[in-house]
Amino acid sequence: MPYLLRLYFRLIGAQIRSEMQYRASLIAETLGAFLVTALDFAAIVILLGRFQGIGGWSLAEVAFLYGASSISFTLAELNAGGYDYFDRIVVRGDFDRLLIRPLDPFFQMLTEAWPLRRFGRLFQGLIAFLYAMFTLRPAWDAFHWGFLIAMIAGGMLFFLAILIIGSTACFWSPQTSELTNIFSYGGQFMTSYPMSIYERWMREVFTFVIPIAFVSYYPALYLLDKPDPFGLPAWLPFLAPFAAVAMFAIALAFWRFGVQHYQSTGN
Amino acid sequence: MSVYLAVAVKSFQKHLTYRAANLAGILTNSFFGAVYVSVYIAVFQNRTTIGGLDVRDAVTYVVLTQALLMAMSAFGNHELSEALIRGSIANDLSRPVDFYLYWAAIDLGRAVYYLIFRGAPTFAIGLLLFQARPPASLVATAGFLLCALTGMATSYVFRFIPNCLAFWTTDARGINYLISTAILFCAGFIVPLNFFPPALRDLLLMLPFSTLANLPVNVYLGKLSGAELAAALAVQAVWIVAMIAAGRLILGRVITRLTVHGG
Repeated sequence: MPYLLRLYFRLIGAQIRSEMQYRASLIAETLGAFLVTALDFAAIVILLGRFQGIGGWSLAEVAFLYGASSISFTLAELNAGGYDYFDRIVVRGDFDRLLIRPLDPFFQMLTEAWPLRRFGRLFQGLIAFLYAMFTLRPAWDAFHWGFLIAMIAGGMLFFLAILIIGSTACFWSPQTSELTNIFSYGGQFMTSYPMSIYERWMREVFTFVIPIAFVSYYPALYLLDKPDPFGLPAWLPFLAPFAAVAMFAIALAFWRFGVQHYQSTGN
Repeated sequence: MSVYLAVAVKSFQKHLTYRAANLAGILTNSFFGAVYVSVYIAVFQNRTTIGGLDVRDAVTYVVLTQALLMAMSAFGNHELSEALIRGSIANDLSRPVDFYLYWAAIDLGRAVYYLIFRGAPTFAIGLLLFQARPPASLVATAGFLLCALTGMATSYVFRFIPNCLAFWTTDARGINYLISTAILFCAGFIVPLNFFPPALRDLLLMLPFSTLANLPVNVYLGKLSGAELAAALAVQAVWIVAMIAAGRLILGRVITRLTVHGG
């Protein structure tokens, strides 16, 4: 294990150094990513400013949801950088290269890329989150802070699972990446608003089938001390970390299944 | 002329191949539509109209903009900038056609494909699932189509300018970020311009982007017609002419000092 950990940091370090080679490009892309996502948040500010909140949630409370899910999603994208273009890896037959190396392909995928430009969005999510915290000033004890970290980490695992499942589907059809967008970008977008605004079937699907509601909504109910309008049990928010770990385990199993059934495009 | 028509048709046909991807795209657009619709239904609780729109207008706005996203290339497009970076522009330049019009034809072919095969189904789903409004009148439908076509043209002549930056930066992704930010926000794809603070809204209506989303939808809803519509389109026409001139000027400069990345 220490060997793998050392190797991990070495490979990530190499990726970072390689990203640094194109400094002007990196700065422009990071700034661009920051601006694009900042306008996303600006849109929420404009809309909720005009309508004074949504479904009993104030702008600051929505900023909390938005910031948390944005941070989780960006951390997942940072670590799954290689999965970002996995369809091309499969189509070009580059996956063969990973298979002949004496290392777990999953480990190799995690160190395949580490796109520093994602820090643009991370920074933006942090700003929204800090705005929420300084406006709401919640009275938290140590357990709340610990749970906050579990929420962010769980969200990251959840989105990582989505990206892995979507990429694994590329083994069978490389045209499915649009579908993954529903759950990755769509999931991040959806979890920026309180789940209570969605129709019953949407809430149930995204609680029980694809537990996206655990990324930010249920943990936020506890952390912000908000009542659940549908009278769900009070212990439900604490399932969030478990839901994320379960989702990640399923993704990993599916990935291993996909790798075993991989047939090279050949040449 | 027939050459450009043939190029547009070929570009249209090329996209016909990606059926699974388009189907997935329709689902994605509809999903985002469902989330936006939920958001608007929630914010309109205890309210009747805001910025001249009621809740059903807002829902219709969502459905139409989701249907128009790809036809308007709201996320930008890599085709041109990648041709510049990869050097296949050398082939395009050696053809006895006008480079600017050649790429306009490619762009138009793609836009019309997306209007029919992405836009129409996405719109039909929205009409059925979310009870979007039918067009205000026959005239409004014609006005909507006219504005949408103007929007496609505006989208191309606008994107051509930043895409030319790829000659210098050899980086398509950063440029695309810039393009999609400008379009998504300023055209009213994310939030209808009707809901913006008035000063910001009036400023954005004077810029060339509103004809990609806000303008056609407001015409469809019957909120904009007659002299007001003519004035809005006149502003857009001025922008189109100005941006064609700018695009051609930059292109002329670029070609004289072009170094193709070959290999």
